Amino acid sequence: MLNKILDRLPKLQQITPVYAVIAFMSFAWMILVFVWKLPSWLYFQKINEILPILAYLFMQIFLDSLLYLGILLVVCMILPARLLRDDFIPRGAWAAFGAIGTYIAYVNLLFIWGDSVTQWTLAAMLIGIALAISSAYVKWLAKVAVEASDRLVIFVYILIPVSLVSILTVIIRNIN
Amino acid sequence: MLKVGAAVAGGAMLSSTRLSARNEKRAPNAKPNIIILLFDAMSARHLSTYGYARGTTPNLERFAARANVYHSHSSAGSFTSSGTASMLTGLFPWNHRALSQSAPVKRELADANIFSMLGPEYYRLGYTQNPWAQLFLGQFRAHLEEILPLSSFSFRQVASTGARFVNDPTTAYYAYDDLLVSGHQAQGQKPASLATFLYDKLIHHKLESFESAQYPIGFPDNNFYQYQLDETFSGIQKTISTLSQQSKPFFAYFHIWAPHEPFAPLREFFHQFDAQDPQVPARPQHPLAMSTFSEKDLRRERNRYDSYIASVDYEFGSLLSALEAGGRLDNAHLILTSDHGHLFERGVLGHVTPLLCDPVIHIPLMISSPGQTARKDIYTPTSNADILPTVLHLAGQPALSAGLDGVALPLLGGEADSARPIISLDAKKNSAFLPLKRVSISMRKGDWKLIRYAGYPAASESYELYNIVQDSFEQQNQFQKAASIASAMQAEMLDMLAQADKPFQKATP
Repeated sequence: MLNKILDRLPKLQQITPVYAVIAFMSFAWMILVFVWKLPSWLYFQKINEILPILAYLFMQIFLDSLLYLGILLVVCMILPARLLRDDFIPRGAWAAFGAIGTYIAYVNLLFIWGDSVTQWTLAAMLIGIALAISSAYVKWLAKVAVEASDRLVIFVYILIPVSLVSILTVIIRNIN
Repeated sequence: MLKVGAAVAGGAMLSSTRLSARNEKRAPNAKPNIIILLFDAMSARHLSTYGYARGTTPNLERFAARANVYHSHSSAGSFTSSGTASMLTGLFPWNHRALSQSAPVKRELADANIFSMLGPEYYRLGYTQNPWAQLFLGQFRAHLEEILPLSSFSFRQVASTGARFVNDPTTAYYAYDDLLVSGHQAQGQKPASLATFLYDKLIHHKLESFESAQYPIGFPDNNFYQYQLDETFSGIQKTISTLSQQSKPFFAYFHIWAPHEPFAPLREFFHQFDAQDPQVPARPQHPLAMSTFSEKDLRRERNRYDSYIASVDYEFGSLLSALEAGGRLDNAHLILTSDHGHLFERGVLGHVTPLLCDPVIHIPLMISSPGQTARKDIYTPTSNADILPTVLHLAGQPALSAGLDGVALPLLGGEADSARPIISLDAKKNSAFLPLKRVSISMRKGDWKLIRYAGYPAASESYELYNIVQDSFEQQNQFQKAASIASAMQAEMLDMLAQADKPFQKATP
């Protein structure tokens, strides 16, 4: 049974670059928002108070990124292999880029276009699907995804250890 | 030392083990207990105790019969952060710098506030249902023996919040509420965690609209937790009972969300005032009103707000009876107040507004002292920055005035001084690091109130002057007519502003 499930999943070498795209986008967005906020925090708080905040941020975004990857892998298990698993790097990378990118656009436009989160969720899914499908037919799209995601893997080696240290920090701070 | 109480909804929070050691009889000359009971967004202009035409607060009137009632009491801020910070630090907002929503006070005040100044002679407990006030408790945590979590006395969580990390609520609040989920999107903040943001929007949002037999338009709700008024007040009563059994005197600060929006009146009060004229004149739209609510909308919301105040008053009545019956006020000063008011006029609904009309800054203040049986009315203008020095006086500490904007209140250690300028201000859009350029400032002096609006696109600099005693609805701007009063107050206000801005002016080379 387990083997059957694992067979429907892409290999670790394929998952890693796709996760790199997810992690890069999620963490980059978080760091951007953090940098906007940092000057005022520096005025009101000391560095030793700000670093634990950063630990919470890293922990949550790490969990977010695992959630996105999990969703993608569940979809991969459900769909026929030729639709996603067989071309997991380009299709997965573009799907993640499209969906996360759409949400980042949404939260930036929230105040102009109102609080229509359900429609945007649908839009993000459609954009992700469209990009994933397109990458099977447009060669340069697939090439861009493979090349870019491969280069982003380096960040995984930085973000995962930092996230694990952050989780440990949060656990220690919450032990009664 | 910080000890965060366990989150037990509707129950008393103190652990019996900690109290058992202190469960001795108090010495007869022990210091009095001091309790601050703060109702968020309660405008004095809507309380029958303060002459409102609708009978919204019979129980507050019962309390007032044994208390000092301050009739011209103003909050130094028009929203939670700046108003509450002034009360807790004794400073006007231009000095404590909690200028924007969710802003803390400047760093050095973490060790110069009402809790630190009272000192460890008192067992100091803080509880707030307002997440922004919770930030101050977090900042001052080194000087509180106990902070009850935001979730105390709540029965349901309706949004993701750092408050769920009960052992590290302040840090987690900054991470989650101020950045990851960004509950303050009204200010243009963006959520860093897309997953949590979506979860709240899609899943938690559905929980918000729950109604009940008791609450026809929804439960009291601070955006993160839902509360029931009776559970909140009975939780506070049990907490006071437990604190009263200690050998040490206690100082307890209870900050209740109600009657803040969303208005959630109890069913029996819901339509109580619909047919009753509040006797408040309609006023034209203000140029700085950011919204354009019609008179009809404002009337409907005013009815709900008044009904909600009546509901809160009803539950306060039960608390007051229980405290009196248990003898809890025999050795306690009870300070009843608010952090800011609320506005239903000139096209504005709410208190997130640059306007400093009286209903948004005029707050109740009633203080009963041990053994007090008669009501005393004080009409001299006072500020909520005066609470800190007054509390120190009540605690028997030497008078403290250096470095504070507040002074001890009349009849409680201070003298009535009508010539003293009482400042309120709103500078949400102004950086806390810079001089105040985009700011509304109100100065109350005797019968007169001067308001300066500066730096807004709709008003680069404009003034309004009212004789607030003769014209309590602020309909006749006398800035031109009473030129001599206006220019004297204007000069004094600008001088104070220049002093406050001094540390933030760039040094000239």
